[in-house]
Amino acid sequence: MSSISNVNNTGINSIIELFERWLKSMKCVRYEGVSGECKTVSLLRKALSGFEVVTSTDGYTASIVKGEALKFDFSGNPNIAKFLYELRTFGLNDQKVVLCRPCDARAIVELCKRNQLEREKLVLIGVYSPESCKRRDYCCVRFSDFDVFLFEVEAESNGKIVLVFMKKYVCEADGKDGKMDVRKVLSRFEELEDARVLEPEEFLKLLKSCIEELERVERLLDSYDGSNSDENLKITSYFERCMKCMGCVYECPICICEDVCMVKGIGRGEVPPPPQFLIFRMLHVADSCVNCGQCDDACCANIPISRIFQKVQRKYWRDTGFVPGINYELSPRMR
Amino acid sequence: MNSIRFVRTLCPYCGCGCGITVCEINGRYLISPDKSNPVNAGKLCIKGRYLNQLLEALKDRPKSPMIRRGEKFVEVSWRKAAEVLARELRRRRKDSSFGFVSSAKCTNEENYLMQKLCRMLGSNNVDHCARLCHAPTVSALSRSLGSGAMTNPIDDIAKADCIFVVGSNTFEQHPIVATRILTAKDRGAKLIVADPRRNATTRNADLHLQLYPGTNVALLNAIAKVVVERGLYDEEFLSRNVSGFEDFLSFVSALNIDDLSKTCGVKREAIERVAELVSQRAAFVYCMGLTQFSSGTDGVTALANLALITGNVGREGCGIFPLRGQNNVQGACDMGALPEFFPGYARVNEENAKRFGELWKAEISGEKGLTLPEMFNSKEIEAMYIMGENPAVSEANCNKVRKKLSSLDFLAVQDIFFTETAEFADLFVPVASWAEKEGTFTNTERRVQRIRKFVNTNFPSDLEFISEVSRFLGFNFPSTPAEVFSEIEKVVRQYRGLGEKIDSGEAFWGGKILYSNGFSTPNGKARLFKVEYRAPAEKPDECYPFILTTGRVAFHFHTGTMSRKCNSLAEEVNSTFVEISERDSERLGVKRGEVVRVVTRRGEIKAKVVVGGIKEGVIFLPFHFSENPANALTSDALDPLSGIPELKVCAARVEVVESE
Ligand code: SF4
Ligand code: SF4
Ligand code: SF4
Ligand code: SF4
Repeated sequence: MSSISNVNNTGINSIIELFERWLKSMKCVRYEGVSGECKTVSLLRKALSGFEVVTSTDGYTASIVKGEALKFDFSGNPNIAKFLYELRTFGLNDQKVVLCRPCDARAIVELCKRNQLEREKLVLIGVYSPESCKRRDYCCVRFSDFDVFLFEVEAESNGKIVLVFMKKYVCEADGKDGKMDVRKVLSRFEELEDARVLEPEEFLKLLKSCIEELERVERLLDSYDGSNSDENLKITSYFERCMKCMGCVYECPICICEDVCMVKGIGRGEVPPPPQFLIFRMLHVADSCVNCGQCDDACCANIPISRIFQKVQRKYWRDTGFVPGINYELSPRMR
Repeated sequence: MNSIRFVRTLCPYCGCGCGITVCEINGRYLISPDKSNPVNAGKLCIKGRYLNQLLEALKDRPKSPMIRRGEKFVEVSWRKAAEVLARELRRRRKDSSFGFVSSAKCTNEENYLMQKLCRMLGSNNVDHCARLCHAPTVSALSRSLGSGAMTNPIDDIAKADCIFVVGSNTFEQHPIVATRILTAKDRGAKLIVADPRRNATTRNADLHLQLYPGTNVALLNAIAKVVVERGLYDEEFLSRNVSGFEDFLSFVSALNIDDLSKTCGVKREAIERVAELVSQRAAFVYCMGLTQFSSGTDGVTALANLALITGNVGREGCGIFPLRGQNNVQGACDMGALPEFFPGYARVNEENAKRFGELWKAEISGEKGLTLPEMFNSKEIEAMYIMGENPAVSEANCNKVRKKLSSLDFLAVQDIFFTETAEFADLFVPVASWAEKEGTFTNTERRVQRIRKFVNTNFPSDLEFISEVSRFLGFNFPSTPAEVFSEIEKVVRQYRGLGEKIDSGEAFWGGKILYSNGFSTPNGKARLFKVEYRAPAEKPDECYPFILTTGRVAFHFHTGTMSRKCNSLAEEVNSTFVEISERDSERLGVKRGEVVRVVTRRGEIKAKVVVGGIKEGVIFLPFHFSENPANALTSDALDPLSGIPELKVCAARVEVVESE
């Protein structure tokens, strides 16, 4: 279904290439919307009212909504990928429109590859705005497998606007065969008062600002690479802080083993547990950590776990060309 | 149709008051941390992490109240139970021969009604487990500063330049607070920890002061002396906000640092270094390792003195942080579930009794009631009504307490589980858990937060049951938390107007930072008190050569009633152990894993040896395990000012058990 395949060399060029390829199968709507409120939020509120949506927003007010006004606060509450996984284990396997951030989506992709979720049953709406992505600076590659992607950018004199990228193929699909009528979701974005489908030239111009933003992030990411010595990442001294709260295991969307190793095995009854406690998990997710940052958020010891894992992982990316959450195959065979 | 529902509520364990998001999916529950609760922002400690197992355990509990008939219990309805309890209380109303034990695990509303019921029956014999943890905080801080509460929000710890932890294993017992300590440390702040043990907290310390248990006052006075001698005190703050500095000066100048250093076992150089560090922007964090002594009030006072002379009260990024063990110790104290205070810390005296009598339209006694340990010592007490506490395991010298419990004419125990204390009951009333009721809890930083019902049940809540009892006594208390809270807002000065702020998550009583505009003492100034070091009640001797101290582990909570029912927690640690220093273990000839007998003047238990970095001459026992209760050994010597027992130090001996 998707044209995205193994990326042979990562780095900004391949990401742009990937992005462009992805965009070829897309159309784009520009949204200016009301002033005052976060543009992405006002757009979503208008477009999604009435749908059953699983949001990664404040769980209390509106996480699964039917016809109510949505409250979006982007706190990532609950952890959406893990939540979808849990829903499945509760036997809830019906179709859903899922509103999520790039990091959430990467985790969803990895879970699909591991046969834990069914991609066909999800319409993924991606959000990228200053409010939604608090850890943008660490977020590695954020275009994965969205059906709709909302990109909030600075546009010339107009201040902030939201670009809505939609997959053409989904727009063309119909609602038969028991499949969710995603067309309905997508057409909403086009029909909004303040929205306008873009002509190719304007589209390309705006695209440039997106790419600039990506380049900035890519540069930042390079500074976490193992080759750059980052004084702040003294791995062992970080690991010795661990208070064994188990947050990193239970919040990680990739840690889904039935018999959770860290609980059964290392350092039973010890605080802090031996460093192997964390190293064990690091090895288990070395190929699949999607750098979503859920473990960092959950860590009582404030260990920048995802950054440490990234440091190890980026070497693996470079060697194999495999980027978890982006590439569709499981890890490549070692040559 | 699938039903999915989200409820935001709180973790029921400790005083941090972390938020959890519960997702109910077709009648099953998924519990995850609440990222939008400012207390924990998406984090939980291991106990909160396994709350779903606690929910499972809740399924397995007595289904209806039970009355003792001879050796057996027979089931009765809740209505009948309320009637029996009301009758037993009414019978003893004349001579107040009953004691009420309220609970720091219950909501503000429930505590309020519990103490009100007791007081409307004409007695002030109501107390709760704060007596065993933070009674000295109330007695010391209310006279030094005005209120017995944490001065600043937890987040301020992250902004401090120095964090001085006294007698708290924060990294195991309050991980959510420890997070803030680490944030501060990542900014370059220094962490000082005073603790006889080496543990997860001291591992993170820049300076570990390994003192002898019970010598906090000596250590803190010595530090204060250095601060004064080197002129490190905050002169401007002292002259504007503090009284008693002149006296304090002459008091410390008479102290001898070398003597004090010898007493507490901390080197002079370390003491000097601490004095330098705490005179920066410093947060003073403490817990049971400062309070559970016969000199508990003095200990807290000495710490308050230090915070005051260094000017570390009343502004951002510093302050005094008593860490609360139970989720609602703060609230239960605020609600006046204390024999010496009416709600809102109004001292029990004739004048206040009259005022509350008018409010409640009843005859209220102005005479101070009995504290928990006093109830267990008193011959007059014939009946007890215990809500949500387990004194048979938690009290010092618990064998004595058990004797008292079994000799009572009437004992009513109201709890979620059938506890060790319930074994002695004449009436056992099972009630709704935190998951099955509504109400408010006040966390350690004075933040009032709501709990919300997410499990349906036919168990009444504590509140509903008390209200039912009140009806049989002709008092007709309201039976919904909302009604009770609005009464609290009227009666408890500190809670006025908080109701509408609760949903914003920022309902701090007294404001975020206390004392930024003067102190809540009569003259608006804080006060320095001279506190001399007093040795603990028991000293090691030839027969009992060790100092025994007690505490907790990260995986369990208090008497284990809740946490030991969670498999994943029980799998981590599930039996008692005694921690002994390497030198001592060699001297005794015992190895790790061997079983020894620990003996004190009050009792003995068996425990497995763990060899650790504890101070030589000191041994440590966790108190979670009722089959080998550490409190069978602990001393019930009391602090004269607060009535807290000396749980943290007594003399003990270790006997090698000959293999059978
Ligand atoms: S290890 Fe951390 S960053 Fe990586 S997938 Fe798991 S939660 Fe996300
Ligand atoms: S650390 Fe490994 S075994 Fe444990 S849950 Fe994660 S992936 Fe599974
Ligand atoms: S989340 Fe942090 S503190 Fe908790 S177990 Fe993982 S590494 Fe340790
Ligand atoms: S720190 Fe306390 S309130 Fe927070 S999860 Fe742990 S036990 Fe619960």
